[in-house]
Amino acid sequence: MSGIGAIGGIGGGVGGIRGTSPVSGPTKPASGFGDAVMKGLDSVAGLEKQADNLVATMASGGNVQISDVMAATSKANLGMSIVNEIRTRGLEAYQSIINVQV
Amino acid sequence: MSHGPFASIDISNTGLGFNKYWLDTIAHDIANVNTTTTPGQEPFRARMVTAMPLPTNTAEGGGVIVRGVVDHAGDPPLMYDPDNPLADEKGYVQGAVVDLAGQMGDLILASRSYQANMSVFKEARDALQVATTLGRG
Repeated sequence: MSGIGAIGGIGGGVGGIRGTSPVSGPTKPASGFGDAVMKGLDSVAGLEKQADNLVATMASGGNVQISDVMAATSKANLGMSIVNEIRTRGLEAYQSIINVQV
Repeated sequence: MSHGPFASIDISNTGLGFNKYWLDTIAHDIANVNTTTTPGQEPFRARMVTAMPLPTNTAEGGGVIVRGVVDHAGDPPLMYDPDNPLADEKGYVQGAVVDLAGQMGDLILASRSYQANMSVFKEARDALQVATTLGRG
């Protein structure tokens, strides 16, 4: 899902956020912002697992290239930053909508 | 290997891996510069690493990988050393086929090449880190 699509998912109803019941009827959006963030978190979890495995292997004297460990940890770190930034942007958009004067 | 947003990190990582391998073989060659053998036997020969692009289906390429290791050709130098237990009946031993000056040159190349890939790695990481802040208002 593109970043714009992720933000647009909010327009489809906050019900897309996992763990909350749909506000506007029982129909759930195909993929809401919360799902997108969860998907991102899942892939970051995969990156972190790879990094963890490499670090554990290196720490226990395994045959691991230091550059591989650094690449894996950097990727996990960057992935987490990206997902966190997207979460923040989405939350900001949500706050803007919540604060609309009626 | 599939590349996502971290393509440049993955690619420069292959460069780091290749150049580390190159440094390792240079260490092996220089460590064996004084390795002698009995004439007639296969002498120690310096190893030369060859590279090839890592096969990939992505347009930007996949980096580099070791194609293979080739032994240096050439005749080993003969040295008169009758006390050496490896000497033949005429008192000669053969030295290693290692061009020490060439190895030192390769060492500089390999280490600079490693640093170059490290610069790409750092630059890619910093660029992605900055890109994550683009959305901040």
